[in-house]
Amino acid sequence: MKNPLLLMIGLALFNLDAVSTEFVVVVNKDNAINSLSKREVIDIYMGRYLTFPDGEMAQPLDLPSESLLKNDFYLQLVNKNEQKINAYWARLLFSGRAKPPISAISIEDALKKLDSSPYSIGYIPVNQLTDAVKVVYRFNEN
Amino acid sequence: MKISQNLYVRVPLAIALVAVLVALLSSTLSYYIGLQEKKDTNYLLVKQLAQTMAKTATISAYLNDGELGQEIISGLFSNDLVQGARLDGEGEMSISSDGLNEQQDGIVIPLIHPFIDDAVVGTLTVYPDDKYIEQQAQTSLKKEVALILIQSIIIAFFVSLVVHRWLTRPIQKLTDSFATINPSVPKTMRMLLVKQGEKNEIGKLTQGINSLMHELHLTISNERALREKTQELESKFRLIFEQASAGICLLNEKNIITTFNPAFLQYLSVAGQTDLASLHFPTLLNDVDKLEKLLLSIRADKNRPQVTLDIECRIGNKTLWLHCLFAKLTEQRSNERSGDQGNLVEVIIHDVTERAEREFQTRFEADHDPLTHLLNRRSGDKKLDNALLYCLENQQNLVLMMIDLDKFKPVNDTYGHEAGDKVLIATAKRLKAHFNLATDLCIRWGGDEFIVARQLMNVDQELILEQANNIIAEIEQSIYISKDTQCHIGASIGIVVAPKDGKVLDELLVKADDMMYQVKASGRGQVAFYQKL
Repeated sequence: MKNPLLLMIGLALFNLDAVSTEFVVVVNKDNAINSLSKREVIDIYMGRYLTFPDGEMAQPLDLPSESLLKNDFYLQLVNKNEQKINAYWARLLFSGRAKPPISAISIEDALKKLDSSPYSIGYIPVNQLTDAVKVVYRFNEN
Repeated sequence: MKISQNLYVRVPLAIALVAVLVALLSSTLSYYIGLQEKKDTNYLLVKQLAQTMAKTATISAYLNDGELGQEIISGLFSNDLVQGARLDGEGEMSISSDGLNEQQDGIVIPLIHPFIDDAVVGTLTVYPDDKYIEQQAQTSLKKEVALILIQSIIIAFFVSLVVHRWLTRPIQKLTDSFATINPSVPKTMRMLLVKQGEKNEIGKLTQGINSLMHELHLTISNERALREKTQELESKFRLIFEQASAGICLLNEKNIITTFNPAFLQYLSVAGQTDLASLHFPTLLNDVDKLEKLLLSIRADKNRPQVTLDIECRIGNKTLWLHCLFAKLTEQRSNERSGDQGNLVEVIIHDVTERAEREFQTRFEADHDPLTHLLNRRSGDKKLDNALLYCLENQQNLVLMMIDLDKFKPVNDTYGHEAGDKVLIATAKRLKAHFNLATDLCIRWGGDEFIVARQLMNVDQELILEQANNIIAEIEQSIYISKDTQCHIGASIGIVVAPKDGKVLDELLVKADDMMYQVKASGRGQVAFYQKL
């Protein structure tokens, strides 16, 4: 039962370091989009838009929650931790209109999904970037 | 509806009325103040409500999620405090509740982008339901008024109870026991019932009334005894006044009769009339000037409280002699009251006509000869003396004739004394017929001797002589002593004239006597003067 508390303390400590984790938002190589603004990334990830700005359907991917990368990503994107994001989606669960991103099992799984689907959009730490995907947004650019 | 006059009804009613009025006033005031307060509170509540819903609304607007938006709006709308709500998102999204009145001012909450602080995704507008609030305020006002009314009624009831118990009932008792008291019947003036140990105002009042009544009772009893005594006295005096044989009246300062008794009326009213001819006393008694002077003098003279006067007066065709007693009334009380008002005069009248007539008769009989009704010698002597004195004082002459009848003794002897008396009476009548002036004196001096006297300014001997001869001729006329018998007598006269012949009556009488005897001696039926003029 003490776990959530310990976890929270751990997260808090980790958050200080998490800033250093640098993410890039990537899409399938065939996707027409070459770059996205932070706001467009937010709107896609938070379920506001189901498509890319050019009208193509968009399917966001999440990293597994256990990896702590997901938490790090959302903190950088919308300054909210993973729990808050989960609560956000839980609230929208019965509305049915917006859907949360599909969760990948691992970064490798995410990369594979991105490679196979032209609609997918995902995030990966910049040090694990491969040529198989196209970067449309970099956090440090701001 | 007639409201009872009883205090225990009126006082509580008045209190209740005031309570209700105050209640209505204060309720109305508190209604308007409370309404505004409630509106403000409601506005705050609605604002808080809106703010509570803002987050969800933001997400709904952010996601353009109409269903969620609808849910929020219905949620807000289901609240009694909310009259309507509207959610405006970016683009075309606009959800509002049914029957929204746009004219009203709503609470507008901007919906901030959930992930980006400086971006707005829409507005949530909530309209507070003022009507509902008004209704609520009215409902609470009604409750309040009803409560106050009930409270007023209860207070009024208990005030009534208290007033009745402590004020009205004791006063009623007091009034009832007071009503049995009749001031004209002192026996009913007994003590009022007072509760033992009642020290409140009513108890004190009762005690006050009791002591007052005690005093009053004493006073009234005394007054009553006094009055009875006075009435008794008054009726006695009235009886005296009414039944007195003397006429009694009171005159005011103008000599007007103010009061009189029946005897007075009887004396001074014409028979058959019930009123006095005049209320002015002097006029009533004919002798106005004399009486007015007398009354004036009575009033002016302090040392003469009473004056008596015999007055002769004519009432109708009667001549009355009234003995009047005038008394100045100096009533002490009236003096004290109005200074010199003691101007009342009491008059007491006795009818002395009979006595006066008897006196007159007695005096007449004393002064006159019973046979001839001429003056007798005694009174004649006195009157001659007076007449002489008067003539001497007033430079007049007194003619004195001494008449002696001739041939009288034979008549007396022949026909008797009765016949003689008739001759004397006839002769006296003849003398009186000649000497009928007021100052003339006719005296029967002796048996057949007469004296007549007359006062004259100037003496004319011829005239006197003629008169004397006329007398003789008159006397010599025959006198019937019975139906068919007549006799003849004559007379001899001696005359003296004062003051020429003397200034003393006796001297004059002697001289006249001498002259008369000289005539008798020288042949009867003659006249002789003592001294030729």
